[in-house]
Amino acid sequence: MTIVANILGELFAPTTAAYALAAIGLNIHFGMTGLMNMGQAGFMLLGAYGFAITQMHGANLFSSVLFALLLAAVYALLLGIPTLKLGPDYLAMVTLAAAEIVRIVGRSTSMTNITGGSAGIAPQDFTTRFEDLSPLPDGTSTFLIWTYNNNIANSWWLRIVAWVLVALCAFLCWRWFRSPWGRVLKGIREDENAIRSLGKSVTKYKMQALIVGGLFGALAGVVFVLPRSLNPDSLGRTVTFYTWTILLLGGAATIMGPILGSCVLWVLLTAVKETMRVTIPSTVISSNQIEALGWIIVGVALMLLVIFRPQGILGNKKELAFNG
Amino acid sequence: MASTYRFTAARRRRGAGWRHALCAMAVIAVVCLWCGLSAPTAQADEAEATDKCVPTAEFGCVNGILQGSDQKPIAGVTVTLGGAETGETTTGDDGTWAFKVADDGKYTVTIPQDVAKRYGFASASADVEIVKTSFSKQRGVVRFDKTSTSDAASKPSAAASGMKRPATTDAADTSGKPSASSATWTRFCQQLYSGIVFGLLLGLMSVGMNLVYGTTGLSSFSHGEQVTLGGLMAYVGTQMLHMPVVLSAVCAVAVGALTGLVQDQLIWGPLRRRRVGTMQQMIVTIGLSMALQYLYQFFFGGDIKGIVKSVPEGIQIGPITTNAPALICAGIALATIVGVTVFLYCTRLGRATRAVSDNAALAAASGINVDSVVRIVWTLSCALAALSGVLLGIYLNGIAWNTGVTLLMLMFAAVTLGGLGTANGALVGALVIGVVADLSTLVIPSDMRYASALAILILVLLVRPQGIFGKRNRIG
Repeated sequence: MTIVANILGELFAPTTAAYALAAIGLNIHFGMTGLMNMGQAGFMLLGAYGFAITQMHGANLFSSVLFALLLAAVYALLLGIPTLKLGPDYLAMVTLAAAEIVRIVGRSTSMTNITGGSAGIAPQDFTTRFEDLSPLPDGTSTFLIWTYNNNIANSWWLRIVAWVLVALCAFLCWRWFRSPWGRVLKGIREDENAIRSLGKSVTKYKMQALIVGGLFGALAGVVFVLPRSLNPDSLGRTVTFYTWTILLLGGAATIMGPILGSCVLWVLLTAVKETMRVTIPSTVISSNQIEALGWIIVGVALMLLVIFRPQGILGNKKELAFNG
Repeated sequence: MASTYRFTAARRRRGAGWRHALCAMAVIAVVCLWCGLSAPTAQADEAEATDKCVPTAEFGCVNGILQGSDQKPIAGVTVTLGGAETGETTTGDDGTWAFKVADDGKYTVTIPQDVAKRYGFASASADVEIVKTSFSKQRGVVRFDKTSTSDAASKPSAAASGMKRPATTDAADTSGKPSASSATWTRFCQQLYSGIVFGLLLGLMSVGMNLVYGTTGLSSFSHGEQVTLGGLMAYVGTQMLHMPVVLSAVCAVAVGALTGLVQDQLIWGPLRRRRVGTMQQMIVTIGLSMALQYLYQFFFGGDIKGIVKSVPEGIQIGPITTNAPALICAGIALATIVGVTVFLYCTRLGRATRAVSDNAALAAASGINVDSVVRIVWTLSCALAALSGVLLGIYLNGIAWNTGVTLLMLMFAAVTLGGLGTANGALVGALVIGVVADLSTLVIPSDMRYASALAILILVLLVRPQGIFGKRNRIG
């Protein structure tokens, strides 16, 4: 019973919401505009640092979130200026490299007094103000089969906030996809030169898309670290690749795709891992190996998805963002 | 995933010769020399430093695990034993260290003062008493972290020393003052040298990736895994099948080439025929990279695998300390890159390869079998990656499941810097990256050195987006 609760709990876990947010951001980059952002984890990590460090120094919640968003926007500007005029390979590599730079600098021992080095920032240093804001009473609550703490760490309060955020972002995306702005972005995705010939500044639109998607990434980073500590290594390249898998699984260029992808991926992955943990004795396959197996499954799933169903679950094959 | 960290650890862990060549910090030599000289004056026997120690009737043990207050192991720290016997060792990747001692008595274990300060330990030394016959005193376990009670206690001290350079630099300030300028010069030479060696190895890795990009337009994210594969296969050859190193290397390269061929037949060939876009293929390589990486971890575990177990003798060339394997590795890498260049420019097949790189449709029209050229390029690329994996494994004295993926970014940087798809760009780009990364440790902390290499990449893209050798029309 606990296993079933664990598996189904992933459906609305804060981490699932964080990945959904990150994938919504990536969807604006890739699904709408066709930008190959291979460093969404960099936006997330920067957002998380921006939030946690200002919280540590006593800023209020609102300004912390604002600072996280500001950091991500500046970062997007810095990345976009040299690369958006170049081919898609360049943006992919630079975003990937920049995400690594953020992580390497963040985890460096010389940054210990700012970012906490490789150990990161402990949750009690930056989550208290968020938890204090909760209107819920202290203690734990049970809803159907799930029991979580009301306010602390991996809590109901965080779940509510995270999914409200996801819903809000999805709504914004839905508005944007239909707006004139969204139509220009889609035009850029389909044929840059056609849009240019209409007198639009393609680079400017791409930059706007990069910043907006990055802002969602930063929010995702904040939600990602709230139930755990901020550890730079937990927001590395692999997170970017997970986000890509989620986006492609759900379907790029759709509104619900990223959310569905995140839920499906985490529920399935947890189900596979939990089942293996229960059925296979640890003498045959150790828990580390089960963790590795989970990754192998994600990798193979990503390959198969891209080859056989590039539009994902919800996507429309005609609206594919792959050009090349 | 403490991958960059692991590298440094792997480099520092070796004996004196390796440490000089790899860690490339001349100041350590001063420290070691000082320790070496002080040993005889203390009139004490040499305690044996071991990986693991089990107390027996003849020997007692002084050991421990060096870890920070966050329970994370601290690798590569010099631990000095004083008292009835003396000795020196370096903590392993898991923070463990151990001495085997023959004499009963009091021992003092010391770690560098600045390390203790950085991690907020209350003291940099601890005393233990060893009595071999006593069950409870035949083993002395020393834990430096147990005196610091909480995170909060360690924070002020961490903040106080947080901006300090790594341990070795501080040592230079105290012991190397008389010859400070010559020490800097020696360190500069040493860093330059290790940068060039690393650059050559990186170049060998990147050449294959660049060839694939040139002929198919695909940036292969799974190239790092091909490098790891080479190293791991060499490990299987030398340590599991007990073959000589050269034979294992040849087998590893053969396996690498085979995987390239099979991959092209099974995945990339069909994808090209289905006209799947290169961006889509790139994401397939990401999936493949993830799957392979964790497949290695599944079978080989998470630790570093040593290809060669022996510790080579150090060689002194002018201001540079190195050893034979490092020189041989660099030589082989250089020779192979030259060989590939000759192949590309002087053979029919090489010319065909360059023709496909330039314009695949035109090459096909002039009678070149594009598919077979691409197949050969994939095979060659994976073989080169495997070779570089073997050399890297020997040079760094170990290879882990994530070694390749750690270097992937640097390979991309090298290739982009040199010019995507150009023949010699990868080598020049890799040398620049290698030298910049290692020289930057003179001014920034060494755990940030890869960041500086990647920063150079972004800076170069700002001023010359096509790279050093790239053609302007490639980038649009």
